[in-house]
Amino acid sequence: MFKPVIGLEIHAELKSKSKMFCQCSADYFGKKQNSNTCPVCLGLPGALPVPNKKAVEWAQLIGKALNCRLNRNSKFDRKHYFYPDLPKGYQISQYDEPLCSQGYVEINQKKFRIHRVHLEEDTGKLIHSGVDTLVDFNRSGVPLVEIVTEPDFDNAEDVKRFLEELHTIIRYLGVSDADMEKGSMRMEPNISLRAIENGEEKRQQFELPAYKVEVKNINSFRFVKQAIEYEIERQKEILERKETPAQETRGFDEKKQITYSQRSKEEAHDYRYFPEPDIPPMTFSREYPDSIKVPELPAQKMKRYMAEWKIKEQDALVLTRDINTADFFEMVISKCKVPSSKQIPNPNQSIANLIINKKIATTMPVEEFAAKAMELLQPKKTDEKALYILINQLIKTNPKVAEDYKKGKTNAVMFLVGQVMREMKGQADAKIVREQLENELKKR
Amino acid sequence: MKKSKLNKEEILHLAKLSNLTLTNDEIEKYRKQLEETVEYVENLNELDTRKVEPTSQTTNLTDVFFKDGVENKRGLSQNEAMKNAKNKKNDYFVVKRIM
Repeated sequence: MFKPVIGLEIHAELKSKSKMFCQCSADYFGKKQNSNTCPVCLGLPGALPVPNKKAVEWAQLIGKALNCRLNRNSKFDRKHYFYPDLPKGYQISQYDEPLCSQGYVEINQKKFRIHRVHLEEDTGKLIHSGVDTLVDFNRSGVPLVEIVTEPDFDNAEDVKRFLEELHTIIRYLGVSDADMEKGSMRMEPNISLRAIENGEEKRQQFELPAYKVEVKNINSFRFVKQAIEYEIERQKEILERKETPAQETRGFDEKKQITYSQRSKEEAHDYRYFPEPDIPPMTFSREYPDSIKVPELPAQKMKRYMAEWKIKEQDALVLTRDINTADFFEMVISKCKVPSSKQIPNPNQSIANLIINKKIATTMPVEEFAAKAMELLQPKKTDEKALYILINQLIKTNPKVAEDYKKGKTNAVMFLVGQVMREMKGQADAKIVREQLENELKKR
Repeated sequence: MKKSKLNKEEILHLAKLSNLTLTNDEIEKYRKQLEETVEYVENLNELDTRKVEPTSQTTNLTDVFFKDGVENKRGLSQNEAMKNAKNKKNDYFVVKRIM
């Protein structure tokens, strides 16, 4: 028996105006190749990097939202490796003094620990074409936040939920587009399997397996799940043959839904980290973390909708997945004055339904939406006399339905309810219509 | 003073990390030069640093930042950025295909 041990690395590009260590625009998307650079982000000799204050604050905001400790002292380090997307031959990153450490995210009463949140610079973009690899440095130096979890996951579904929650949190904070198609959020799971004997984990359960496999370049939550599920099966097969899977980096093939070895990156990593001598260290006062204000997060919002407005759990979840939907919902609630009644026991839930079922287009201004919602949620006045006549008429013209109903097919009544509602142009309460219909049908 | 010795394997490892191809003569040449450099730095071991706080910088500055905002004064045009590149194609820098 084997138990998966999975940890995650997530990168998110910050949407600051300028890059991490120079004042080139951080908005590189769609620009002419190599038209958005300067001596710093092109790694020219003698250029001096200076950190962007906003990027530091935003990395700390992410850390605080993930319940991390914001460290009083932090610094940048050089991480050396040779790759054409890296003009300096090193990446400015953080090694032993990250901005934030030791947080957690709670999902469905399960806590997943965050190891660290640190800041670094993005690399250039490579295009492989024929015998060439082409390099565009427009993205070089864009602020990149790296979030590293502890290896706390043991299944692909939890990973998917965690990543979706993290994505929503980052979007709530407004610090990154976290757009996976554009590559502004990237996810890399590390996967290995631990042997379990007789259903019990071995005594060394706190030790990690002797290898780990990292899967890179995955750009959707669904693909992360597929890649992990594939890796678990692949590694299980190797371990069952009493062999150890190779420690390596693998890519994910979306079409075949398999992972494959990326030989080019297999070389032994020896990053030779050392403190970036060009950037003085950062210090933060004891009070400083209080000045970083975390807005209401999706999980809190969801709880509030359920407690304050008695919204159903599933609906509260749907409403809070996107900050724009949540904002829209809250504004409509504040503008709608619908009294609760027998027919509409919880107007807030009814408004939630209108938004979720898209009964009214949510693209219209809040005021217009609220007005329409109030109209729709008006308690329906039922013209009892007209209803009585109509019901009897319909039962007469649909003898088959009446017969079915008598035979015990009580659902047959719904057809007539629909007919009545149509004839009365919605100016009747469906509950009353059904009651009346059943009364009349039983008389026959 | 302990004499540091760098072996051929260490030089080859460093060459690989720097993506350099060295001839046998060069391996020996750089082995000697690097050895001298390391020996020179080892002079620092003669200092008593027991009471000195470790540091990674010498300026005594802390918290140097810039305020977020685009400033094009030091920006390079596409032409300027590409000017000194040995291999280029359609305004891309070009290296031998790596994947």
